Amino acid sequence: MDGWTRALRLLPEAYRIKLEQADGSAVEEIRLRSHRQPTLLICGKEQAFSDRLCREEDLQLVLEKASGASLHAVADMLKEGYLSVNGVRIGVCGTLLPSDTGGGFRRVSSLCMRIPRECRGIARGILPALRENSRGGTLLLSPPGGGKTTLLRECVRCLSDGGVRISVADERRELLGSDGGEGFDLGCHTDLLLGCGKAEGSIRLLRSMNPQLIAMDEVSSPRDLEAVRQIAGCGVGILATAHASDPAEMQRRPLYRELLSSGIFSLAVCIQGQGSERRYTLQRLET
Amino acid sequence: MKLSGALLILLGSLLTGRQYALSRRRELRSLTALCAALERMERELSARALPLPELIALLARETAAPATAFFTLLYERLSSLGERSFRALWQDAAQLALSMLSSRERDAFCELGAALGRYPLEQQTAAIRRCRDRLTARRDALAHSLKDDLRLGWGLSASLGFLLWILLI
Repeated sequence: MDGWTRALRLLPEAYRIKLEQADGSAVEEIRLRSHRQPTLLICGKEQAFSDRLCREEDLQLVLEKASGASLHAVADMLKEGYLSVNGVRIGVCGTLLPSDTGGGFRRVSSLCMRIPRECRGIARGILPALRENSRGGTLLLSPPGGGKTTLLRECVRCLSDGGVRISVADERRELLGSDGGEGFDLGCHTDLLLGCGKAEGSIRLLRSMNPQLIAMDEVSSPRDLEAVRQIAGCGVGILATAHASDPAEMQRRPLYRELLSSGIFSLAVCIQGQGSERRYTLQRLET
Repeated sequence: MKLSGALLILLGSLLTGRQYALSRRRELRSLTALCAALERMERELSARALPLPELIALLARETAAPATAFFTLLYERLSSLGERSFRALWQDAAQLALSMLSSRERDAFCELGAALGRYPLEQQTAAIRRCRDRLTARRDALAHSLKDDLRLGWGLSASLGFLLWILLI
């Protein structure tokens, strides 16, 4: 089952019926906002797909379906503002409960369902450079929604099938695109750890799985940075994604400046463009 | 003819008494089973924070009737989650599987469906405890008065039967 079908299954019936006949191949996100028309994000632009305004109950039903009516079981994810089910990441927005009650939502006003995709062949142009640098550090860069995870998934699959032993801590289960069952193909030499944070998970994989390369989706916190340092210190390669258009933009953010100055990453792949029109530019990084 | 009619009336009255006794005992057994199921539910949620589908499947397997019937029915209906709220599914299952409860206790049990899965764990377990306390109070009162109630029920139905018999003969 592809990501589009999985996302449709989470929608209220009125919207699901509307979209079942539609071609979802170009849809990047489904967005539901309370008292607004639901929209699809296609090539960076939102288009309404139903005249029926979204109700708060619709949003609650989506969350109930996605969490199996068990928000307490996904409280850790909700604290981060999202919920991941079968690889479909649902960003949640609304009025938060006081933090001491577990970080849940008093009212939910918007949901953003990101459709996971497998795009075979997109990494062909950058693979030689990645292989050459597989013992070093490579960053995949783009602004949010730019296709970092999709590119990372394809890079992992290609490198792994090429014989590189890769370990991945898939915190949001977006790379595998499932909750542990059959998901996207991540290659025949990939070991996958689900159910824990990427920083702790990567260190655990480093100790237990003897990887040649560790892939991390979104290096975004000091903990992630510390994990990257430990991994690099053990002579294991790192393939990671980060939110930035290019290395110059990274330099403007303290955490990423520190990351770049560590000298761990020597190659960056900048993702540009939208929809199916993506370009990948290689850039050597200097400390 | 008169005699056999009177005997039938007497028999009917005694059967009514028996039915009353059975329904009281069934209610007591149901309340006991539900209280045990709610206690298990609270324990599993507090200790393991199990997702509700997993918890409901567990309770469907490991509780006594009629709790097992309720949780089995609810588990089957979880497939329509997303179309209908968990609260509505819980209420439907309670109406169907717990008809032996009095409406007050059933309403208290139905209310619990609104709290489960939607709030932080502490609030959920508190709601379970509240519901269990109400069912336990009813169960204890029922157990306490069961013998007297049964005696009264049998006595009344038998007296009614004899009265009709006397009137007819």
